[in-house]
Amino acid sequence: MTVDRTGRFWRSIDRRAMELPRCGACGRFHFYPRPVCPECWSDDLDWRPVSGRGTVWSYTVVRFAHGAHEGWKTRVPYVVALIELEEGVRMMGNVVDCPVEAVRSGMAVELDYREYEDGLIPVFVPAG
Amino acid sequence: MGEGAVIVGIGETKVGKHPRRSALDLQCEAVREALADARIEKSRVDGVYALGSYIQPMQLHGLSVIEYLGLKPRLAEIVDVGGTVAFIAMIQNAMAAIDAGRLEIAVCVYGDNAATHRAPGTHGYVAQMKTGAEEFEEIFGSSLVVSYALLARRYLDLYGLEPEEAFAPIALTMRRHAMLNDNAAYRKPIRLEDYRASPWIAEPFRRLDCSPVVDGAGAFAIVSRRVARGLDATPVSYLGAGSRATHKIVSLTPDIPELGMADAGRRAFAEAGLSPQDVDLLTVHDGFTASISITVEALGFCGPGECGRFASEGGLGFDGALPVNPHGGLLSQGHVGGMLHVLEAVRQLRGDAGPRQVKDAEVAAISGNGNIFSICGAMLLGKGLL
Repeated sequence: MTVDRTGRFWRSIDRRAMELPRCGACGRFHFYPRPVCPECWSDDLDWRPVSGRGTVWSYTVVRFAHGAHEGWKTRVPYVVALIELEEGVRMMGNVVDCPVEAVRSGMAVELDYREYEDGLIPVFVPAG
Repeated sequence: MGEGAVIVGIGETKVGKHPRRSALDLQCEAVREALADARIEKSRVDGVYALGSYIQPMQLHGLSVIEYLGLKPRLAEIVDVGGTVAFIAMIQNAMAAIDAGRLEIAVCVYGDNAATHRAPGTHGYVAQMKTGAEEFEEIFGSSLVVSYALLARRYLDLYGLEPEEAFAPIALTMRRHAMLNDNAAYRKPIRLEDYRASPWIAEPFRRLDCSPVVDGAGAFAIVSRRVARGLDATPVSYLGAGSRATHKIVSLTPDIPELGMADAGRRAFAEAGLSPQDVDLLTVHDGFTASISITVEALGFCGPGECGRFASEGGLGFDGALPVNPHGGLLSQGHVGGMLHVLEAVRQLRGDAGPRQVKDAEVAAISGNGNIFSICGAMLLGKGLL
């Protein structure tokens, strides 16, 4: 797995200040970043920092990393979640800094960053 | 709509492990079987609809199939739509070509050898699959199982269910069916205790919630009604179909009630002029137990969240109110991409399903989803030349 660190999204992660594209025409954010707004096809995109506040939409505790990339096999158990950000988009991320059993749907989380072998990666931690 | 087309022959290789055979070789065996079953001379085949191996991918796969078998059809198309929806699309494409007078006899085929030919470190069918958005999922330790587990957790939370009540009865039913199928890879009896003891993979999925890949292939012959009338084969007719694509990766999935399956089902039933009550059996692309819950409910056979209870009462059994996957499905027959779900529906309608025969089967529904319910499809087939 090689991450393209050159994209604007990844450069914002490298600065620990995640940005997402917001459409100048329809006002909506989208994830993952694409060169045009998938809602209205405008290319008038404005990158904005996100608040970092989100909610767990769904999650799974991975106990056997079947098919995951090599580095993950030794990290079990770990949590993969889908997080609804305050900006109205949903993204995948790991929930860390709490026991895996504590993660629930609807849980409030905050964006943070962790150093993995591919570089800095966005993660989510329990809010507050 | 033209005169219509009918399925007249099916062929299925042994499922399991074929370490010394290529996916192409397995596919070609299934084609030969399907044509032999329909008693069609190979020289009469004028259309091929194929899905190439995901494990041993090959460009221009259709040409490989026709060359391997010495066929000279008027067209050889690749149909790569996702899951069982690919085979629903093959039927629709073949019908359209037949209706347009472009061909009269087509064979549709898929097979793979994921059990024995995967690259080391890969799993399932993912070896050669790329989502186009890897950098936004795989870096978090995601995988196909993780993606489905996220959808399954959402399902459980929406309806306030535990995996043991929602999913275990489904795993048990599929195994009971596989025990009645000589061509199923997983036939050891399982009970609720075995489900409970099955190791977690990605919660809420235990190993017994996940379908194991096997090597194998399936094919069917589809012909114009004119041709069918001259054949000594039991025909199965197309009644209606629908499909809906909504996303590719799980991060962008609609919520459970908004997945494409409900719309696919409505369109299929509308075209056929039928309702769920008219269906005698259903095949579901069951990559995971939750696939069956979500599909059965979206197609209107059960209320939201009710499939597990329905299954625990025997409802999904081949002798139950809504027989689902009498062949054991991907979960217990083994995963061959969902092609064998089409063949089982045809077999049941022909009355050829032996000890697992659904009584008086006249209308079958085939459903499928590709990737993570990314595209959903449903099709209705009827017994005879309808």
